[in-house]
Amino acid sequence: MAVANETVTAPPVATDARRRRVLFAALCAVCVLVAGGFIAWAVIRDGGAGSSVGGPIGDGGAPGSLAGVSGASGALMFQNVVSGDYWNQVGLVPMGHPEGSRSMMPLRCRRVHFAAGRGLCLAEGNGPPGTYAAYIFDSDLRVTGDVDLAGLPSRTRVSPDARYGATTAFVSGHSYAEEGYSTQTLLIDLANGKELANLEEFTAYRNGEAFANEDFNYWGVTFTEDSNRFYASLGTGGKTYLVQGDIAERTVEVLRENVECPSISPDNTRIAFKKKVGGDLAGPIWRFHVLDLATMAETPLAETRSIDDQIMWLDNDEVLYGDGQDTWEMAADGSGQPRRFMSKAVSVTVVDGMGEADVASSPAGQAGDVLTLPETDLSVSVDVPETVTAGVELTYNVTVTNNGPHEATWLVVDAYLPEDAQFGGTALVEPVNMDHGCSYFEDEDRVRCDTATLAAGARWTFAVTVTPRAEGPGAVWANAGATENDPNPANDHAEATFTIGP
Amino acid sequence: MYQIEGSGQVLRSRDKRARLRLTRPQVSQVVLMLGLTSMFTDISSEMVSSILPMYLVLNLHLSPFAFGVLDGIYLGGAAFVRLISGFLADKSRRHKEIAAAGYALSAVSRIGLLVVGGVWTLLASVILLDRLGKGIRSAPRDAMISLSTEPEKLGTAFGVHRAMDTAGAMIGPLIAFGLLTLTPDSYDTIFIVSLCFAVIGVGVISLFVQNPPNVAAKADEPAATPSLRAALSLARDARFGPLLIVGGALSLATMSDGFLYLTLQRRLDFNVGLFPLLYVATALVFMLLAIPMGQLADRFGRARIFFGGYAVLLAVYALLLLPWYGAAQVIVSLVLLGVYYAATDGVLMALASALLPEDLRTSGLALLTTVTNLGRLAASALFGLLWTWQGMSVAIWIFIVGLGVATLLTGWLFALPRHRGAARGI
Repeated sequence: MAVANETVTAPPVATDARRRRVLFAALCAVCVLVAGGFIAWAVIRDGGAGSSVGGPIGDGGAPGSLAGVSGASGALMFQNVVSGDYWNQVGLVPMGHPEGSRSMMPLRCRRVHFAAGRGLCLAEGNGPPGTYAAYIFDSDLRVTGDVDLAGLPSRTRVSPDARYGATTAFVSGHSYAEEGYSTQTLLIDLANGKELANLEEFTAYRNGEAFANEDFNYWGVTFTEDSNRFYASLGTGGKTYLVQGDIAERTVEVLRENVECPSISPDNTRIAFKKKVGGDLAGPIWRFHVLDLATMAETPLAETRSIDDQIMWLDNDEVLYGDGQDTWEMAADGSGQPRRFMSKAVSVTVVDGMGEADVASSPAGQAGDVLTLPETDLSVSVDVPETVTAGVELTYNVTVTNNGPHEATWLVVDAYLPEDAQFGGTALVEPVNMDHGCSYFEDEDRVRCDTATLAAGARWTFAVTVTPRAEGPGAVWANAGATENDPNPANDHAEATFTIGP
Repeated sequence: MYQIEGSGQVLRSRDKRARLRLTRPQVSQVVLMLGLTSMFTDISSEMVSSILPMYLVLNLHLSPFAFGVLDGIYLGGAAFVRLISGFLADKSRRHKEIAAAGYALSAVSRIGLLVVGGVWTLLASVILLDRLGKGIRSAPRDAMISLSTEPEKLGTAFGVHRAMDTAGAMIGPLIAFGLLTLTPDSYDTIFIVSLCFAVIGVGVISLFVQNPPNVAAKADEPAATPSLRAALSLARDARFGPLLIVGGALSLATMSDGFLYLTLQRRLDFNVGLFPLLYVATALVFMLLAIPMGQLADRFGRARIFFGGYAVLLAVYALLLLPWYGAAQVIVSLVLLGVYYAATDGVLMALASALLPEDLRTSGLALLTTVTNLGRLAASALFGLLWTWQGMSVAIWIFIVGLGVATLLTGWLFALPRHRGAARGI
């Protein structure tokens, strides 16, 4: 530096250097203030450390916790994902009233399942952040044991008699995307709270012969009524198989190819699963199917979106599945249309009746707090022009109206195009400056448009342009939904049929 | 820790003394400031990438297959962008401005993470933006390190940069998990803090880094700008061409760290939850040894140290096949893996820099990095296939043979007369 000061250009250089240092100091100060301020605000907002880590909250449950809410007809248990104080807390609603007030339980989970008096709650572990554990809890919502998981929680199931439990975790590592993903599936003895086996330790058979590969991955266990037998998915060599397992024998047998995340019906006659029907750069494309175990016949279900979830049977006729933060319902025989079952609720589980009286629409508050989602009535309509011609562009309007009384948030509209049509595009009709986004899902003949808010009383119309290719009957329909409950779900769906002329 | 020298003359006067010691590395202010930029940027990006799977799967309830998509987007995009930005930097002679734009792009992507929420298509674009930024900045940055360093100190300069870079990569996840402990599930806090680190990184490069004087001086001579043809013919250059082949061949026979750890885990059957610790241990050794290895490379020859690094990697693979196993094997393997990184990562850039003409430095480095990255990608896929079809031992044996052949090829090419200079580190 002494050398530099003797040159002619020294003073401006020094001034410039000082100016830069001052500027940098100011930049750092702003960054530290912003970061520090935001952290402080987040700590206040979230109530500080420990407020939302997994597992039991405070002292956990109390005697009769579940019986207090569950009437004679049973209840639905779920993981509540309404952001705020009850984020990830286990909730209960009476059976038959999925959109009713939620009784919040003192247990916080990332995945939850319950049967016959015992449940499994996958949540953050006792170790540093990034570790996870499976907590075993009883009907009093008291945690009776825990088992460490190897990574991110994915699936969990309890056998119908609550003897065994199963967990699937994505094995974490900084870069597991590097070689696809791997899973760890554990069987847990719920009576003593100990890990029974890692499924990869079981002996596998295919066509009566031993079957073993280095890249075996198991996931998505479902237990049968006798609870010794179970079904699961086995992935190896780029293929997935349905396997039937025997816990006492510690064996699994390959039954069928291309069956993922099996879920057995309450009467043990059918398996609902996701079947890979294609794939591209954006990952696999799945469709839900039901496999009849007697005839081995597969029936595709009504949902046409590609969804990655393990189905849950509501009863022998209806199935439930999660898409993002909502749970949907459809018939198990392939008929009808899917409909939104619960907003901001995942891991929905049927809990058999254990209370004396049916408390239907008024859940008892003794076990926890009650969370009521705001309600607003959405309605949707589809307007198709009178004449539709094959090979000519068809533009039709989809209109969503919020009939109030609340503002609708995270409003999502799925517009299904006619079959065998060339998608042209979407255009906003009114209001002209509406903030929204639309994406086209080619393999599903579906356009999804969403917006952050739609005020009570407001209306949103967008146009969809398609070119039908063939003559004959055509149909378009649209579904709308938001975070808020809808007291009148019948008008959330609209359909228009027409004849495509020459 | 690092002595900053403002003038090349002072540097040269102390040169003789510095050559005799390995302790206090002397690098130019440009290298130091680029090291700081990389450190802050790596803190920022590793904060996000270490919690991204949790954020996507547990918070947004997206399918974990999302990761596969993101990686696909990244690998295709980054290779292409790196080559373009490398050539543009050489042509415009605005290395600093192009590198800074790359750093700024990644900083902007943090704001994107804050606002897009769970909208999948937007989320993918935000992550693509971050990766594009990385593709844009790396070659101009490495070129600036080499252009502001005397030829005989290239190894040390890259060592200092890689040590600071790796330090950032280790600090980032610590801060992210610390914040998650303080305010569980508030990923917005992590994105804000990550944004702040990224902004400081952009601030360092914008305010304290100037284009190397030899480059800046030529900026006003349009006649001398390198042509695309010249950049493309680098691959046929008598000295740089063989280095490209060597880099590609070695990468093709290098299994990914993920597979190496998985192999160790299969042999020893430890809890897979420990995987992140293995990455930390390797990075720690890399960080500690990057500077000494760079200095050794400058003193005893970069080609020798580079060759030695791959010999060490061969030893790591051989350890995987030992008939006995124990915890000691894991520790030795991790230390050796760190040694391998320290002896090869920055040293390869130093080797290449010494062979490339100044006005095509960035294009050449971009070409080399693209070749080695694509090689590693292919190797990872190949190892996965071999593992599935033939089992772990066969896969390792094939990689040992492949790496052995590639290492011998390296030794032979470096021993050729026209490469003796490079081998001595000049």
